[in-house]
Amino acid sequence: MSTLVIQNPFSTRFIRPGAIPWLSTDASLNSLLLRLCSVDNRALICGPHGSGKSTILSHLVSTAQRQGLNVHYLRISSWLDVIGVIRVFATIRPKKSLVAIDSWELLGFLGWFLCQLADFRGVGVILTVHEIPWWNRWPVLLHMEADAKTFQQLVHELMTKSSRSENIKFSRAMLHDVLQRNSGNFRESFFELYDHYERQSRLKTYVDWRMKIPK
Amino acid sequence: MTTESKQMDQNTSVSYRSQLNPQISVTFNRENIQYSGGDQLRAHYIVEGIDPQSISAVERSVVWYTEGKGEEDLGVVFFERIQLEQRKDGSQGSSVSLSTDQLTGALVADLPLSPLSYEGIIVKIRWCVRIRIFFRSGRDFVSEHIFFLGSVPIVQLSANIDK
Repeated sequence: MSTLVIQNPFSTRFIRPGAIPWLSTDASLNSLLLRLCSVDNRALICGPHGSGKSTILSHLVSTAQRQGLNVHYLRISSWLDVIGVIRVFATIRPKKSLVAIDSWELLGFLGWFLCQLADFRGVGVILTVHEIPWWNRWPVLLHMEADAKTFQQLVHELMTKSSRSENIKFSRAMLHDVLQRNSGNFRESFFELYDHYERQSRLKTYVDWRMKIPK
Repeated sequence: MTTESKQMDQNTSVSYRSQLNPQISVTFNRENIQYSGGDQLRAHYIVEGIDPQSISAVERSVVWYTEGKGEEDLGVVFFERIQLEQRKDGSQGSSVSLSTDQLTGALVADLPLSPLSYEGIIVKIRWCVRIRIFFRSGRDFVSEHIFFLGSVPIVQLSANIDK
């Protein structure tokens, strides 16, 4: 067996929230936390699927922890998670604490009740949502939008970390098409590039192998 | 065989890049890093490029994980954490040694019969020796060194390629 390892830079482990860097020219993570303080410590991060909401939330959590805040990170998977959120909101010490909650919209109208509880207790909260709920009164900290330039930068960052990527190239036009085909969803675009990368790296391996066989 | 550090991308990556980058090399007891189920893996590692006094702890593990487009799975067959701060008094164990310019260590693990290393298209199964260094500053650095369990052939796309 060959000891070849194809490390695909678009695998989940490299693109999951927290693994890819936060690329922003207009706001640093520290400035976002300062902005959060200035709006009473409760705000939303809003944006469509795969636009980087969970990624920025993950980086904000790390930054807040480094600043000495006690951070609770929750990921909502169904409305049943409401119990866990109530428990955190009710028991947390509001000072020096922050609750970061991903996929808040899955709680539906229960979210309104929980926001009231957070307001009442003065808990610091950052939520990610796809769209601003009609009942929301909290400010939007960030409105995420996928753009081709950021996508190209992220692809470049991921590719440079992979040892075999030097032989595989994706043109700007191709990256633009991939992002457009996936309606600006970074996650889905990365997964499409995963398939391209597998095909190209295996093709190269196969060609190398065929060239070694004597005719 | 000696393998070079493969830095994992964690959310601490930016911070540890600003420090001196550690270089971790691992030497396996098999030249071709190819093992069978039930074999004993022995590995020796050297951490260079940083001040060993800046390290507070080292974690060594032998793990397998899945890699691909879906959710990830992970299994740990060996794990050991060594607090270097507590060992400054000379009570250092034989498995880790701290000199002025480098940190070295060794580990031994009995490998299970499965899962076997698999180089698929949608999913891959990887085995590796993972060395994680914790700095006194609170940062950490992870290095992975892949080896192979079993000899499942690499999945090829030859049928499509020949056309």
